[in-house]
Amino acid sequence: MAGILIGGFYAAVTLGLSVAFGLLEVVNIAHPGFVILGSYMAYVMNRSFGLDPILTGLLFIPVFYGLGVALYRVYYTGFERTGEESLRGLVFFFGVLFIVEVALLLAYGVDYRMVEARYIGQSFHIGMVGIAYRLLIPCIVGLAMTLALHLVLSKTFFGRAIKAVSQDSQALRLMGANPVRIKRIAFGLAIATTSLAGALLILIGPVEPSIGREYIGRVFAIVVLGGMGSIGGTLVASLVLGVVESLTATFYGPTWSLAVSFGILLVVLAVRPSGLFGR
Amino acid sequence: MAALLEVRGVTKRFGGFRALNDVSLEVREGERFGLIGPNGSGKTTLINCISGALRTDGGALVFRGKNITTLAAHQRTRLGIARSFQIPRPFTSMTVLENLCIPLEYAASAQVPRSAAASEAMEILRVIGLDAKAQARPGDLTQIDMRKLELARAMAAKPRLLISDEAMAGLSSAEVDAILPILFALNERGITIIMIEHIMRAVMRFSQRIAVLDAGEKIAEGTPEEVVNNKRVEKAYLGE
Amino acid sequence: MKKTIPLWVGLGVVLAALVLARLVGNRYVYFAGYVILQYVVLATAWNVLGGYTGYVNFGTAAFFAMGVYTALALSMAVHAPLPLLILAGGLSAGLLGLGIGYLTLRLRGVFFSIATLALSVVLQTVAMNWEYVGGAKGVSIIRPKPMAPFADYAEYLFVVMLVLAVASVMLARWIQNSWIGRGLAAIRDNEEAAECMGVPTLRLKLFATTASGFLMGMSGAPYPYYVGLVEPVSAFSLDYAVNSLAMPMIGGTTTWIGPIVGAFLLGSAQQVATVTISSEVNLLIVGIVLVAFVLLAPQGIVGLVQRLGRRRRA
Repeated sequence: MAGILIGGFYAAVTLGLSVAFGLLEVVNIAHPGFVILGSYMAYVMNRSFGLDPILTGLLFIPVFYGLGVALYRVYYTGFERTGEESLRGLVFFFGVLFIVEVALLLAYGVDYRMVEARYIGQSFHIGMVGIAYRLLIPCIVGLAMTLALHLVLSKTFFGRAIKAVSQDSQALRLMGANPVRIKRIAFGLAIATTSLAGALLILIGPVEPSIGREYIGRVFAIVVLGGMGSIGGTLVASLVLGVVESLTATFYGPTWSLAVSFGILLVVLAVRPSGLFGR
Repeated sequence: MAALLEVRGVTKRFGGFRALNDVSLEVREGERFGLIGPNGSGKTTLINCISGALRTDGGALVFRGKNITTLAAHQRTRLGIARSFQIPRPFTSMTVLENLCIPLEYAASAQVPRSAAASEAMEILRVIGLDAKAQARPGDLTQIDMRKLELARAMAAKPRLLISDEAMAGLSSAEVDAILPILFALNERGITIIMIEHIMRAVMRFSQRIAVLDAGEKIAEGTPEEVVNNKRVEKAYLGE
Repeated sequence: MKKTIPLWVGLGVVLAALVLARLVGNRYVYFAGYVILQYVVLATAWNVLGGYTGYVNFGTAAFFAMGVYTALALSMAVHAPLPLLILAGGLSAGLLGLGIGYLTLRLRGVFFSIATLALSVVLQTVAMNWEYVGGAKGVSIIRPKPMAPFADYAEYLFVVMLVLAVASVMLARWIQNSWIGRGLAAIRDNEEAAECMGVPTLRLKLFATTASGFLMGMSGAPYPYYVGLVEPVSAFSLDYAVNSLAMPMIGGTTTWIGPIVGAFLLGSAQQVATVTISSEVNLLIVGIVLVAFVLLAPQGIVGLVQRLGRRRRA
């Protein structure tokens, strides 16, 4: 049961990467780093102003959007435009991830940080079953984000342009849209989601800078399992991962749950690399 | 003349889209074979299936009597199938000479001892007219030199069958006239050549037989004269 | 250029370094030197797969720790001598490389890289749960007595790492100049074209992954004796991944010289920085320098030197 709730949360974390990696083919390994950054922003706001983390998450969306756009500009001028092999782009993002992690380490140390909100200790009761709010709310927000992204991608011109840009930028140009600008905005959006995802993360539990690395395996496993570029697939895969991890933790102990994502990743890559709903 | 390459009922799908549908043809030893068709008819897909860059979804490929359908691309190259790429793909960090050493040392290693690779590479460059640029980087070459390099690399693999994928696309008339003799000369030496081109006068002059693809199917095969007068071919190119 | 550095040159380097170290007289030289030489091996090993072949390995720590724990377990079980431990560490890490390569190298390079990153995390979990080597707390190990002609064990370890460093560099140079190296370069430049030119890409990539893992594992084998206390968090430290990647990137990825330049420069800088500033700031600087080089000087220092040379000649 907790697995499904966590799965919903995983969806929130992975959505941005689904867009960045799945649709734009930008291997943003630093994605989890931004999620952690979002968590720390929520922590700071919570400690200084008593702000609810979700509120912080929403408030900081423009900031993270700007970060994403700036990052994409650097990435584009450095790598994509010159058509270099993805080796350097990969290293670049790894460097960014590393810088974010160490910067947070310097600023806040290795201790676990957490937030306080009214609903954290409480549960929602259906009859005899109690569901902790701190798990339920992130899951609901995660589902909402997934729905929102799905609507944007399928209903708006802009969303469809994003889907098109990965397949046929030539056609886009003929329609008067600038593919680079679209990619830039899409990437900005992808990073913007991490603001909210980070807030959800610190709601669920305490964070410290190196947690990002745990999530790298998870998010990429989800993107691959769900199929590149499929938002619905991301949701399904997130739920699957959440459940499998939860079961593993129950039967084999919590430390093995990390190995789950890696295992899933390897199995999917070996058996059906296009994922469940992939193109 | 024996069949060097047999394409038997090859099918290739991309998702729901059928790029090739039950295509069969035969290329005889020593032949000059042309492959034409409108854009998107599946010519490059067929070449990719023959060279091994793509796996087929049905049908078989037989080369020199051997079933190569499941062989990896590099194994097919070692058996004697070489191709040039439509958009040249040189090895950018190496010199022109080194670019030729790769196929010589890998594909042709049975015919050319490794120690002789460099001199053999120079010889090929001389034949194709690039010997002055042996130490240059691909990034410094002109368009036509890049096309020549593509052909030279395919030659360096010492193939029995050379597939030239639009080697002359976008070139001027004079440039086409510079490349064509090279292909003729290769054929004289016994290399079977499949030429894919849109430049009709080159294909007509060069080919002994031509196959025409349209929307993933073979719609005609025969001598240049027969194909040119074929109503279906006319319709495919010009529409109704 | 001759393909192999003659054995006597390699031995000469070892002897010269040894004499120099003894002349300095300060034991700290052995410790600092050990670390830098260890990075020479790691950077060179990384570069065979990363720089020569174009496949980025983010999980150096996994291969390094494989060597560490193999040596540790073997030493605890049968008290094997160090050379045997080194060989065993190399073999197990090489097999790890072969395995992970076999599973992921048929796909795009991106997935290989992600798999290596996840590999580190998973292996660290395994080590933390393995009671024989002390689980999360780790285990202490006592250094054996040094053999003649070495005065103390630190000096012996220094020489061992020196020999490993020279050997790895010789191997890397041989690979680079051989037909295998040209095949790897072809894969790096354009894998599809290489395959069509007869290069058995999968086989060569597996070779590179195995060789790289082998060298990394060997460099990890003396680690238990070097630190005394082996515990998972430091054995799997992210430093190894970042440094073994940053050093070739900064030094230059296309030749065997680059990793050495990077290892000495970055390694020494870090030794100094860790003592003067904090070790976290030091890491931050490494990260920033890495990103800067990737963006602005992708060919590394060796590349810059080469470009200057070409410009002066032109």
